[in-house]
Amino acid sequence: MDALTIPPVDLGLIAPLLVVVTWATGLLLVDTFFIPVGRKKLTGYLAIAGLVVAGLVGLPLWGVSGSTFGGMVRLDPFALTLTWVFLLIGILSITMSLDYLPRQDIEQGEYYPLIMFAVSGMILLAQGADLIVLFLGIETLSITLYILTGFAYPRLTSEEAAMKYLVLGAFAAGFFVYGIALIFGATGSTRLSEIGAYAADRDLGDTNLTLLLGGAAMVLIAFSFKAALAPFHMWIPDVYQGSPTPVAAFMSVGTKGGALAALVRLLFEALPTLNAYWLPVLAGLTALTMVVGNLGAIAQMDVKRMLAYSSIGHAGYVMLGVMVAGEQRGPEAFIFYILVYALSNLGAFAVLIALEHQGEEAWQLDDFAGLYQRQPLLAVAMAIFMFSLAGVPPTAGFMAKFYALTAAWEGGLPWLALVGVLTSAIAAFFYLRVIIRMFMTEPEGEPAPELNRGLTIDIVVAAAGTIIIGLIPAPIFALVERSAVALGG
Amino acid sequence: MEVVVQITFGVIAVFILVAAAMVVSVRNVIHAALWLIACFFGVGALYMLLEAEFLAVVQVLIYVGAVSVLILFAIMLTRQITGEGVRQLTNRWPVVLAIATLLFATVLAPTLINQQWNVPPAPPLGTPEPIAGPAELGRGFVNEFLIQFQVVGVLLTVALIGAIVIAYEERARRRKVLTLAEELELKRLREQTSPTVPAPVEAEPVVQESRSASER
Amino acid sequence: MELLIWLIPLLPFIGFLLNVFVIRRERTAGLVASGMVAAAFVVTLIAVGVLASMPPEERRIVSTAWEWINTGSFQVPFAIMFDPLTAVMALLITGVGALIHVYSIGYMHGDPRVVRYFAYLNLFVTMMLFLVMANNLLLLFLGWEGVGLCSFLLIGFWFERKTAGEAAVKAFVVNRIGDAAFILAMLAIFTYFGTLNFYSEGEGGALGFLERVGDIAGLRVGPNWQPIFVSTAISFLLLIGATGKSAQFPLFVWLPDAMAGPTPVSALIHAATMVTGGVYLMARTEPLFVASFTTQGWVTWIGALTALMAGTAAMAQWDIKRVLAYSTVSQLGFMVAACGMGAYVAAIFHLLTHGIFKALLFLAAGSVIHGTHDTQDMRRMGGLKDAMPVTFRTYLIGALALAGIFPLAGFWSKDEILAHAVGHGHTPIFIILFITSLFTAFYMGRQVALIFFGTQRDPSYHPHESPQVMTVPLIVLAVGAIIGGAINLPVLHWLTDWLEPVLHEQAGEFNLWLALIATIGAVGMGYLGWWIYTTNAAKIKIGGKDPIYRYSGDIWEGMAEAWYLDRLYQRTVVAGFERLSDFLARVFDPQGVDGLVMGVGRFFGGLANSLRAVQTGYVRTYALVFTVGVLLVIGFMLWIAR
Repeated sequence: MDALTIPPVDLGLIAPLLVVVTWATGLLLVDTFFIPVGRKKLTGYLAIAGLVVAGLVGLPLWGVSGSTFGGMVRLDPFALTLTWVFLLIGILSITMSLDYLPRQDIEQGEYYPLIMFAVSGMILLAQGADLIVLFLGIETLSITLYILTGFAYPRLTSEEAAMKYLVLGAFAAGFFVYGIALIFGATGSTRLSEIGAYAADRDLGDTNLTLLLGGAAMVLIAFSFKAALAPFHMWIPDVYQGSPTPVAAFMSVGTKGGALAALVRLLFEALPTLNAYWLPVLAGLTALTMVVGNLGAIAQMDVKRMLAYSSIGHAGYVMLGVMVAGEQRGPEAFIFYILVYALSNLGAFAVLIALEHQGEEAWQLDDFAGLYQRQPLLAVAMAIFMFSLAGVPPTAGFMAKFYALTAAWEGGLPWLALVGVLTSAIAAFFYLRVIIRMFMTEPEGEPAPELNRGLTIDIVVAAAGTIIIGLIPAPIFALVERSAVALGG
Repeated sequence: MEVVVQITFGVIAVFILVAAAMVVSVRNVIHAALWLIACFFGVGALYMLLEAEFLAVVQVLIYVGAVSVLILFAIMLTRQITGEGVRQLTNRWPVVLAIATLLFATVLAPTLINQQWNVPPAPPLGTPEPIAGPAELGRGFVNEFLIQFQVVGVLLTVALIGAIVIAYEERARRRKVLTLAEELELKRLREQTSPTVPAPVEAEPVVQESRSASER
Repeated sequence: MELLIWLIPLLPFIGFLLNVFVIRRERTAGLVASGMVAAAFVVTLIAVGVLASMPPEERRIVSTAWEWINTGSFQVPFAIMFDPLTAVMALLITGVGALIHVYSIGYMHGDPRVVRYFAYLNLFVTMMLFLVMANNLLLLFLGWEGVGLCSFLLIGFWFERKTAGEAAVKAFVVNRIGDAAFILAMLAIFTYFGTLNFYSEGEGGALGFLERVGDIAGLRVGPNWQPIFVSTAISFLLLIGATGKSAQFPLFVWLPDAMAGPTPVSALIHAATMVTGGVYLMARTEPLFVASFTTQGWVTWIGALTALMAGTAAMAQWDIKRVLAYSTVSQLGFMVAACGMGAYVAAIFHLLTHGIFKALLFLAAGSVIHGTHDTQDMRRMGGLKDAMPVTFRTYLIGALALAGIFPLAGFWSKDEILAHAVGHGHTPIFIILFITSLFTAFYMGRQVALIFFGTQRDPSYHPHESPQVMTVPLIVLAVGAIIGGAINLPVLHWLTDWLEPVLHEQAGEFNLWLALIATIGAVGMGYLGWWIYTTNAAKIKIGGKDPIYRYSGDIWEGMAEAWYLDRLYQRTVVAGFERLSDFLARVFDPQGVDGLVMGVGRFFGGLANSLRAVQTGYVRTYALVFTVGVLLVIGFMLWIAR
């Protein structure tokens, strides 16, 4: 028996991931043994600190490109920028949870480490260069989210949401695993680069591609499920509505960002030569997603559910960048859109949280009546978020949408850009309804919502970010531009 | 030798098919679950025949040990358990049949269209068979698949925490779930006495204060 | 100088910020808002002076604040410019805008949300100034959307009135349709030119797309069986955008409804700002339009058709403001038709004079409404000329100017458009526009007769003249409506010369015969309208029929409904949309909450919540849809794609 040899491992390349995971594990113990019940906010602060540290650890890695663990994980500017975006999403989500949990009487210390684990899953998705790693990343994210969705379990809706998510998520995971098996059967590897090399070496006309294509189709389906592309989107409204609001907020941007980051890598490292097969499929799904998401949102009177449908629609706009990620502008548009969408959407959910009182749901449109009179800051912030989601200048949402549309148009999908423009014209309608309620109706005895520190910080940061990125997006564009260079090569 | 293998395979295959048919045809759900276990055993035997000992053991451990127990638990926690007289097939079974056939065809298609499996070339004699024994697997975990191994560790930790968070803590706050015995007792009582016997109600939610630190 | 032109949009913006965050008292709000816009007007005047002192070819000041988008090939500066075209637009916006602000102090006195009102108003002016001062399409789009947003807020300002909210949403959504086309046009322009700048930024900079229209000459795009010229595609998309904003057929339906806002807002939207945006856009991107013969034809006919449709509709309205609204649509049709015929200077000229006298008419109408305690139905007015002398005189001047009677402002500008149509052989267009101008005179005569002559038909109120803060702006505008035509008199044609560096147009021939015929026609029709409604004044009852109804019958109803265009949309587009969304909610989202798009109430919400026990049945449905998707995707990739 020969001695075990462990391949050279460069832990530096996964430093942010490592920090998040170890910090979360440590935090679990600290929470259990040192933090008394009733002061669990401390755990939340520590979790935020951990995410901040992970972001700082990533700073010196800027510009570094390399892979480790035998080529299973990869670090490049694309992954690093996304890591930062994901950390930001985590921080904002935790901030808005700090007061939500005790108010809903579901505060438990484990919540915060679980969010951190979910963030680690997202980071792994951005860094993974191997199908099995991607699968594990998706599962880390998903299993955490199943738990978090059911976190408000005394509420039936929350339990129901977790159950539905679990059943359908397991269904999708099955497709992923089977797809990996088929791809492995066809190419003899799960490494993205080797799959790409296999396809590149062969004359596609002669080779029997059935296995590879079948596997690719199944993996794409699994990703479509995670990213909420129609018709794999059915779970979204129920799950968002049932889960605790901060979790829904986190989910709406987190799963999308993580899954689509991995999809970009998969498409352009493993399957670029099979472009002719997957592009029509994804383009069709994207068009359907934009239509279904935006039309579905019109019928909703429940703002949380409306935001769920709107998140389906936005998945379509993000996909515009993903599909043309072979061009320079594609990944740029993708990262930029995720960042902007994260800010606007998390902000909107934070406003929802501010309106919720103890154990009470305040998600109906009518709960927004005359919000301007009751709490002007909240109303103005919500208006900014709504305009940003609708894509009205000068908010960041407009810039992001315009950029994504430009990318699609230049990438050879002008008809998809057309669908995008038309659906976003429809979208204005339901975002506007919220604004009408806030500014153009008188309050009918609804109490003034209480704003506490965590929420205020969240909302102000998100609103300021949305406006500033809309007016002066150049620095962000510069960052995004440099992140996207390394990709696709 | 070859003939013995062929005969053994035939016996096992017939056994699996019969068991599988029984799973979908018997009326009692618990019996169906037991037949499923038999089916799993058969598949394990098939792995044995293919000299994949590790896989065979894993098959028994996971499917017979874990999955079946899970299914049995699920059946027991479901109301109207015994399922005597409950039709197994829904009215729309042709649809189900069609979908199942289609999915099966998808699986079988590559084989039928004569897909050339990308089998690695046979190793020189004397080297251990690839992915056959636990030793090779173990080596793979610390070598090629190191990161996957680590991440699975994290994943299991998360799952464990989740199980604890949802199942263990604050059990009292959950709705009361009746055990099988309790439910039958209740049913019997209801049939005997007047219908004024209260239906099972949700347990009173336990207020925040009663959660003392000592409970943890 | 660069600082100076930044002041123009920033002054109203400062007013907006002050009104939102600092000011709480009604009086200060009005003074600050008006003062800021007036200051912006003064600054604009100075800037015009500076511009005039420069040699004509160099009359363009560009100032970049920062690089807005700056990635690789995609560069858009946050930059504004000031050239002759922008100058006249800015003068109109700030000048008329300031008067409307002053007038609002009186009109909105006592309203509970007056501070918010002035904040919106200032933001509106800011956005409009960005629209006309932008040096690239993206910034123009910011102003474009901003104006739409502010109009939405202002139209819905009196949200207690049920129609106000709906009208606001209608305006915004119809505008969004135009905006969608605008975005597509921007995408196309960026793809073919690689820039969104109109002109080069200063010396040696890369050329803007308006200077490089030749690049796309002969390029075609589209499917092989029917390719179209790129220039046609782009200009047509811009045209759709312009029809949304400038209320042209088939998208003019939002404008008459937009009368639900306060009257000064109507004046601002209809006269000085928003609706002129589309015409401005066409004038600004004139090289693109000129490059496409096809689009120009469409532009001309859309303009002429709109002018006629709205002109006839205006004849059959009872609401004092709806008459003016349809009249605005009609006059915008004149301008658009002029653009289509290549008479851009005439279009801008008419835009300017129309801006003045239409603002006058709206404000005077507001004064009438104010003095009659919120009466808008003209059947309940009558004989107001003695009670409201100033309003009457100024209204009359505005009406004469709109009717195009010599020598008031409207005569000169309208005549220039008609003369161009005759002079360049657009005979059918000329006939349509000429008939429309006769109608214009008629309905203005009718309106003056109904409001000011005869006897008061509804005795329930005591009319009174408005306070000075309202009448002074009226007098100022009336003076403008009288002498406004002087800026482009036939012999002097100052405006043509001033705009020459931008629009490169020579002054047209003055057609004496045409002017004579047009004036006689206008006087005759105006008198006819006045005569019919004064002699038949006794027959007009509150809620009753029009005297002409006897002779015209159903045609009158068609006119009153603006040829049923609105109802057509209600029955087809809106109904179809509602049904689709309802269908989606019912089929794909069985727990979906609401089938009524505009509905209110918690009924469905409560129902849905009671349905929400743990129901695995739905998961089954979801899984089924999922499986269908799976079969489609796998089927496509394995069989169809190869």
